[in-house]
Amino acid sequence: MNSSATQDFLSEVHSNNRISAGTLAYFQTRLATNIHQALLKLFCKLESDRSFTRRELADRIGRKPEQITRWFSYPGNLTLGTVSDICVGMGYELESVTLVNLKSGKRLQCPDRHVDWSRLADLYQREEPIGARLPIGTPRRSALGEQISETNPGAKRRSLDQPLDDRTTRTEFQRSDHRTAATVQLQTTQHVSRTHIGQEA
Amino acid sequence: MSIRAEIHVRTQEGRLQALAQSMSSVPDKRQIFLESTVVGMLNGPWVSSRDGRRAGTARALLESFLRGDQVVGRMPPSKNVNTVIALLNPADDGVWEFRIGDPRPGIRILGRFAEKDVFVATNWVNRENFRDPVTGQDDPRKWRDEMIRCKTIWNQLFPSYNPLIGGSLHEFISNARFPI
Repeated sequence: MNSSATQDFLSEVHSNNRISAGTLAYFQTRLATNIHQALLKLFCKLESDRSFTRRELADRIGRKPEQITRWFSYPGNLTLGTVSDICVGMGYELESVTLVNLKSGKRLQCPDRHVDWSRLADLYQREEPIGARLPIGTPRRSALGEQISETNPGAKRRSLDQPLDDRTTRTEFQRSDHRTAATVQLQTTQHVSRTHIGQEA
Repeated sequence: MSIRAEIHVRTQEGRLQALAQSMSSVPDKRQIFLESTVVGMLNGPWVSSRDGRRAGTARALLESFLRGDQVVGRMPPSKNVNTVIALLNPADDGVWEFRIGDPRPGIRILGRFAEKDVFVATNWVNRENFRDPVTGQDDPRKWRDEMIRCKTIWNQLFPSYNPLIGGSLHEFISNARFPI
């Protein structure tokens, strides 16, 4: 497409007029290809890491192996339901999406509920009175499940620099409501968490 | 003169047009050059909204190829009908098709590789045109005719250059794989 055609294409989206079927189809397929790429990448990773097979995936989600081939071969074969099935079959969940404003290019992550480690740490501190009710001698634990030394409060922050997997296995919360909120996030937003760690460091 | 220089000349002549991403989020990792009739089908105007939808779907898939996304392809003797790109039989002709399945019955964009990751799209065929109007079945003669048309257009564009010929998918496309 030449530049003027590109301009027409996007100006149609920017205007308040009805959007043509062709443009709608373009964005439908663009979304499908993005998701298809994510699934394909994940499958290839699992395939090389631990010899994950299409039969294994098919067995896990109650489908025929040929159906798995169809889904992975062409982006247009996917629906939201099958995307979820494939992800879960591979031990993942598609948790959030990034919305891009076609005019400004600004990006919006939805839902924006990734784990904010610094906020969680702060939350723990704000709940000091509850923690104070623990029997004398009970080790205090941070939001990351590690013991906090009274003399070395920085110990909690150092744990953020540890490898993600190591940290994930040790994620426990004293309070059940925290566990629910954060454990789910940990299992599904590893990338986001990792980014966060980098920022903290 | 290399085939790249030839492509450049054909582009300046207006006989080929380089496909560019509508919204370039990442740089192009592959190239597609469209013959002028394919440009017309892709950019419209279209007779019906159905043709528009086909073109929109085709553009998105072609741009995915430009971005360097992983491509699922097939080569003879495989006849997997779900791949995005396929080398047609006989393989020695080097004629490939992009398979756009939506909305059904979809379209095929035929072409040949000038170099690895450089695809020249020569003809656009609505899938229903392959069918015999009486039986409703695919007519092999029409496939053959479109392949001949592809080779003819290629020879007109590049009289002294053969298309890329190879024995594996990776010789044509980087980051490609056969169906899972």
